[in-house]
Amino acid sequence: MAVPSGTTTTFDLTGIREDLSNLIFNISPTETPAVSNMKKGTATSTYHEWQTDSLAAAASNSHLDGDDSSPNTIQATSRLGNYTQILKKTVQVSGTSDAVNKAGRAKELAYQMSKRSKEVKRDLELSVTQNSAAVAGSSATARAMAGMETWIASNKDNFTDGTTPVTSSGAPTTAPTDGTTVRTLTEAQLKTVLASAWDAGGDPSTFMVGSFNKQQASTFSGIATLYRDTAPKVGQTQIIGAADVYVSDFGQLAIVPNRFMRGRTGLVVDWDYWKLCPLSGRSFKQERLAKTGDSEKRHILGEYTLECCNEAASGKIADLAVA
Amino acid sequence: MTDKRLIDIDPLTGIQTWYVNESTDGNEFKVHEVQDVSGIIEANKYQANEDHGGWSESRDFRKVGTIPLTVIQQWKTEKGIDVFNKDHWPAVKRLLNDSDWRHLRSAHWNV
Repeated sequence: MAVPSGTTTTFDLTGIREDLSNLIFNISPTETPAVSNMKKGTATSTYHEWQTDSLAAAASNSHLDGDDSSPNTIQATSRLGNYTQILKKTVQVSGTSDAVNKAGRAKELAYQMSKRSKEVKRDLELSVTQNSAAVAGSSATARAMAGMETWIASNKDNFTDGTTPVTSSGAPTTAPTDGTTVRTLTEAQLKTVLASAWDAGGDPSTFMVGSFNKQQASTFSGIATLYRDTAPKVGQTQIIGAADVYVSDFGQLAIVPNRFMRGRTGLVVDWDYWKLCPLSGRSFKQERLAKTGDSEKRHILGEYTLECCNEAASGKIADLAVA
Repeated sequence: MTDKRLIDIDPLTGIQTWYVNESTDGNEFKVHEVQDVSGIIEANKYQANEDHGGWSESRDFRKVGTIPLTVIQQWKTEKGIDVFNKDHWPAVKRLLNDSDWRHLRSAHWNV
């Protein structure tokens, strides 16, 4: 029988702690800004629900002397939900290197775990930021969470035929539709989305963009001057590998790269209103799997969902050019 | 014996991630991130000497500086200061105004 793809040639050993979630979230946090910066909650069911409420719009409020009081119309809270999603990565090591000293075996396992931990967190970042719909799942279809792009519907700047349905109850089971034309990222788009999120009570502190639009955003402050002959040579990787910090009428804003979100969308985020929620007892952990051959298998497994406490506190600029 | 291996080089940022295991039982390891920040520092210095004071073309945004991702991580790990947490903004401002970190600012004015 062929060695299964991905099997390493060293054996593994116990010693890496079973609860891996701290380890996973501590490796390369700036590579995954969404899962690293949003708050953490807990889900108690595969369909995680929460309620949102809002105040009535400000209106003229003046009354006659001695007037009687009539009851206000009570607006019901919105009950929103999202499905948990199972993420896993397998570590599989052959049984032939049993003669390797124990520290060597432990180190190989630690190495494999560090790699897979980084990988599974990137997968989580991708799921959290995507334009995917929530999927209830079945015996043949995996449950899936709706991502940030899907939730953000109120404050958006997109090409005219792009759509994002507003989710006023339940889970967002319809994915946004991309516009048919892409546009160049501009300061005006960013200002418009920031202003509308701010008007809705948000205070966004981060603008997450893909690599191309990180470079595009760098031109906002005249960084294009860096391409003059007299300017120091600044490579693409150096522009992308940093956060540009701005101040504006809407407070401070860090523009950061995110290579796992869709490059055609920029997300203006108030982290206070997003929560990453593991299903209770299902934070990332490693489990030893049943032996099926001359190898030992373990997997890193976690089950998470995304809670969007107030989509109107964040915004998005969609249908952006990526080249 | 130290076991040091390269886990990843991010093609977009150039950040290298290294796995380093120096423990005797093999069960503890460190993850190092390495980034060449010299270009970012030079770019900040150059911009600070430009006349526009960090203002964007529309003057709606004013750039304070460019902070390498590994420095953001270092601040968070060593000082507990998170650039992305708006409650930490006063502390971030203090660091940016500190002479030790002045080359992260792309303007001569204090934040």
